[in-house]
Amino acid sequence: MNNIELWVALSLVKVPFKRIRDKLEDINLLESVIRERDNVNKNKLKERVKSILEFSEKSNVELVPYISESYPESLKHLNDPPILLYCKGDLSLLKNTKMISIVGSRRPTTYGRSQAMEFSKQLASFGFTIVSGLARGIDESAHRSCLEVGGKTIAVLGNGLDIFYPIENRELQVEISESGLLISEYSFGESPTTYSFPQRNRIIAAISRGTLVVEAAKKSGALLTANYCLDLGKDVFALPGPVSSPKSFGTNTLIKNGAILVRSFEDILDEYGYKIEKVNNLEQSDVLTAQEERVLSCLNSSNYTPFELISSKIEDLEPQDLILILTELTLKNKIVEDGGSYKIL
Amino acid sequence: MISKVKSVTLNGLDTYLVDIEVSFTTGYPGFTIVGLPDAVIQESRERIKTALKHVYSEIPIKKITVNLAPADLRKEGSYLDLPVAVGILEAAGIIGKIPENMAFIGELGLDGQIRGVSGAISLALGAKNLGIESLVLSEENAHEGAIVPEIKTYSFSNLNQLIEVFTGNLALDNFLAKKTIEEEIETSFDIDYSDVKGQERAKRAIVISAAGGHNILLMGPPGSGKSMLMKRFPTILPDLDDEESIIVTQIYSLIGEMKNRKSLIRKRPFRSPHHSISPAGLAGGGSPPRPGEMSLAHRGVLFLDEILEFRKDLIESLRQPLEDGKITISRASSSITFPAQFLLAACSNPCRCGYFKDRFNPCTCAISDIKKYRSKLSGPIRDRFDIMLEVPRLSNEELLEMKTGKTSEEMKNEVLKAKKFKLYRTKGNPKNNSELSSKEIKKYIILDDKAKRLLATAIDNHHFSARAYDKILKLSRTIADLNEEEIVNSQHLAEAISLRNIKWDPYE
Repeated sequence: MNNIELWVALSLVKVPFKRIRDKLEDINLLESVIRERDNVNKNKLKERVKSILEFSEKSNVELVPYISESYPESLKHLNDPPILLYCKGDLSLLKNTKMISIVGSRRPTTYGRSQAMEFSKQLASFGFTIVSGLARGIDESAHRSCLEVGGKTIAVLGNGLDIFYPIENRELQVEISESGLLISEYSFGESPTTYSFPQRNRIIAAISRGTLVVEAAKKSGALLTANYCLDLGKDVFALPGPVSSPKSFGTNTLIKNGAILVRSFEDILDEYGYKIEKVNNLEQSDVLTAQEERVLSCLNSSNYTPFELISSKIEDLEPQDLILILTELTLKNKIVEDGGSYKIL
Repeated sequence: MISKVKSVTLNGLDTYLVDIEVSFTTGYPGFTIVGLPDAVIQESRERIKTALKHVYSEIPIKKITVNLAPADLRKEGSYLDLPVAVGILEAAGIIGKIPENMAFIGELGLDGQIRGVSGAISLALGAKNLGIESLVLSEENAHEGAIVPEIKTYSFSNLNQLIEVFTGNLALDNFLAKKTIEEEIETSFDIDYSDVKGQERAKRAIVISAAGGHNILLMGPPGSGKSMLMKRFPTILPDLDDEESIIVTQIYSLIGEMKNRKSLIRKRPFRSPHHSISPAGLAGGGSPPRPGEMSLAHRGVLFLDEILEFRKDLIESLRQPLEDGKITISRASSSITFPAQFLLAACSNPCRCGYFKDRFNPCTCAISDIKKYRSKLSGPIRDRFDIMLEVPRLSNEELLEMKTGKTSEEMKNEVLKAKKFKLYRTKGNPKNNSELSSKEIKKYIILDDKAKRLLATAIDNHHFSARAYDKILKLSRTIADLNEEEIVNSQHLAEAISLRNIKWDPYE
């Protein structure tokens, strides 16, 4: 058996990591570990290893064993790190240290979903890689929004990479494999089990720098991820929600127990010491034209001035031209409108 | 002895040919009408008998059977009086043979007078399509029949005249109705937009609404001038074109409005029902079904003042017509469709006390109550409004300082100009900008680069929702039409964005 075959075999027979921890360097010792397993049909194992190697080649799946260069250092802090990772996509993403996971309920509220999307978009635009588990709900929202703004995302699966679960995320899974990265410690053909998802969560927690829990009920897999984070000394961010909402019970409890409360993605950036430079699509948004200055001079910041009053002060402007200037000032966040009246921000 | 006479009957605006067969047989003397007649037609037996007695005393005492064919179609209304009477006269041999393809429509008085019926214009138009060549109408209806030049219309005021003609004593041509339909005299309004001071922004929104057919909602405290603005809406609407005019006249003819008018309706309808209106009043109904306010506003404006005071089911009943441009009234016996393509204009107070966000009076409503008050306008209905504008109130002193703004004439000219440009731009597509589908939006609404960037910024900064996206594009297209420009630029777009400034959620 050559090196890679050996590692595939090791992962297939599900050797506990502690049995091989001190034998990593020595191929012979590792082989003996397999030989010692007596409930394994060695011939069948060989065939299975062969077919996995063939299939991975065919479907562009990279096999990353514990000793590989590409294997993320962060996973090695786990008690039971995966012996072998099946990866499909851009492996270089694992080298990015700006990695944050967004997890939460499979059946979120509208609030949860929209916040997951918002945070994912903002963090991705800021260069963070978004890690999640490709489950329904918060996970998929986070992945989708990240891809929408052209960000990088990593999905850690609780099943083999050739299995699509949940089936409605099939296209998303394909898209991530093309423009992001799929990771799994499960071999081809392995279906998800109730056990595999909590296991997958430990990888999510370990590879990212911190985890944002968007919504979680009292018993939620997302809380498990948060627990793994605490064990590993990673940051746990939690989005507060109404105390009456069962979907926010878990996140609110996390906050009570000391998780970092986030009000916006800037709170996460603050935590890591990043500064925000506002990107604005309008050119020279801070430079105001003479007309805009004139309009601004008719407004004040303490109370709202109705449109008609501004119009009567600037008589030479047609109403539609004034509307235009006011709308542009609003879009530049210089003034704010409420019910047809304006004030300076 | 059997005679056959033709007539036409109405179901909504649809017409059907009715053959009236009259037979005299020996037997116990009597008068029976069969063939699904309604109560009005059953009563007509008495009218017909008496009228015939008055004009001609020698009706044979025999068993009279009248059959209205097709027998399975329900016939309604009093307009079959005349053809039945003519059929009896022919069957009795009192008058000669009635020419082929001549139809009779009219109600009889006891003395033999021929009265007008409602819906005559639809009956005449329908008769043309059913292959009728000449039509006998009452004098009251003759001008409506004359709208259809393909049919010879004869007008009679009395059954006596008819007998004289068909016994050969008088020439039929003496009774040929001349085309008496007149062009409507230009009507001036006693109200004008220059009466409204200090609401130039809302006036601009109304011009955009009229130019592109965009539904509009104005919200503001009492005294902000919303109702005053809306009531002046008809003063800036362009006249109906020929095709529209005939449909609108047909609808008004159905409710009997045409008996005393001598012209087609040219002015765009403006209907403002009170909020105590019944569902049948708004949507149409009754027996026989009559068009409601929504249909009476066809091709015009339906104005709902204080829309949040209307019952919720009334507001919801606007949904189908706003989507399809027609309303279907279904009854156990049949269903009738009336056209109902209107521009919905509405105004409302922001809350029950009326002073939410007012600059002078404090609002006494709890926020939750405001939410409840506004919940009457459900999301789907709000979606139908392209323009949602909040208008603030000015104090009396401030109002005095305002100069007089645009007049109705100036505003109407802008609307006409935009409509004309739109026709040129779309090569004659009559569809309003507000009716464009998503596919057509992509085809017709072209943004320049700066406008695209502006749109992206506005979406990023949450100045509007994705749902509002299409509406803003359609509005910007109309604004570009007002400026006679083919490409939508950032100015048009910015103005379109500003037309949706109501924050519906009071917590925001």
